[in-house]
Amino acid sequence: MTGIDKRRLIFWILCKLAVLLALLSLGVQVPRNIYQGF
Amino acid sequence: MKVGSFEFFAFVAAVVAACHLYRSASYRLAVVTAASFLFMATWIETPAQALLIAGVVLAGFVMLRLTQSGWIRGPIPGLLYGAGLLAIFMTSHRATTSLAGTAAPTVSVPLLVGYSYLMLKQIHMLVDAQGGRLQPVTFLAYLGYTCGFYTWLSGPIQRYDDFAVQVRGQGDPTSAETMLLAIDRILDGCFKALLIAPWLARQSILPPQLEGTETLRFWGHIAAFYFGFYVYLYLDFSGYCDIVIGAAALTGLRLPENFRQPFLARNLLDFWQRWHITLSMWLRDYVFTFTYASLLRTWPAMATACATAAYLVTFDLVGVWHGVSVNFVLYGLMQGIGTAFNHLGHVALTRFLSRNARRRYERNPLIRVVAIVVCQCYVALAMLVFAYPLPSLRGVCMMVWRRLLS
Repeated sequence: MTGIDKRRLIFWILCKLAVLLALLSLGVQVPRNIYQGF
Repeated sequence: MKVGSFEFFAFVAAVVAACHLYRSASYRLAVVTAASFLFMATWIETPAQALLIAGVVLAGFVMLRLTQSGWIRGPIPGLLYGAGLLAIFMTSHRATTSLAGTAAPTVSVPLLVGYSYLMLKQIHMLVDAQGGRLQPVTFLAYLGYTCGFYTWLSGPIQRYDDFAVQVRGQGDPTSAETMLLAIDRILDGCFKALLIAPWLARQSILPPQLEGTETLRFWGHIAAFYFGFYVYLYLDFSGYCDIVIGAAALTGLRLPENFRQPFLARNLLDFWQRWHITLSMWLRDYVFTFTYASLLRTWPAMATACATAAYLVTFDLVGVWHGVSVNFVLYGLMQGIGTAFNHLGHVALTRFLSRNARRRYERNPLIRVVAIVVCQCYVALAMLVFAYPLPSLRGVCMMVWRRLLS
């Protein structure tokens, strides 16, 4: 696997992780059984 | 242990760490297999369920060994075994009523779905072994393949040969790039399955007293309801696949892709090459081809009718595979009729248009857009039938009808 800018990828991963954790901690998630089973 | 939960990610981190302790393909396979049993144990609620799963796993290996060593000849024992698996599955389904039903399930739905994937893998191995297309399988590789925790709950359905090739190559440590891309994939899956899908599901619920609202608001809610479950299911399922594909990649295992832009499908046949791809391929190889060939042997001059019937049978099975309920039977029927109709259309185009005219027809952007819109509306309707109790769907239809008349 070539041509991947590792530093840029790490930066994006950290950004995504921060946003994901922030939104989840804000309670954006709702119960997943909203459609009776899924 | 739900995929996407904190416990799941802690579990995956522990498995990845254990896998990287020692460079040996057998060691890694043993770690992943042991982890898979731990994962399965978190879903099993009673000793009877554990016995059922263990019995089916062991019986599958015995059948496979007997087939590969030549003790079992001909398709009858394999078919009987497959029918037995299906009978157990259907009986369990009856006990749970249906996903769309109202009664509380007596067996956890994920466990049933896991069992169904185990069944699909075993049938694939037995049929291929019967045809001499399956390489010799060790007990550890068999357990790792059939019980692998990444794909236990909802696929993707990897083929054994693909699994075996990668397991043999697992002695090499995964590169930093692969690990980073895998983590990135897992995060994408989390966004889809944990954030966007539940948010969208909430938006698509029809509010009470919708009938009295203004026109724009009314139709906006109806449109969100109409496409809501379809988009939700895509985000939830493809997000789940992103998470397990990424998690598997961290231990050096490459799983097959399961989705490829299904919202761009221009007909149902195209749709099933983009949606739950590994199940579609399984159905093509072990249901459609078998049914079509059997019918064609009986009526060799009626190829189109045989193919149409094979599509109907295959997709009716897809419906019933989800559960024994009116919703799922109707869903399968809609998919079967849709794909059979597409096949007939394709035959007609081939028969009545020249190659150049057909190419022009297929490349016409207007026809393409119209076909995509019609296909997506049809799929969304089938998904509604799949997800909601029929009386509530009837209620929504009546409300829309009254609005159109007013």
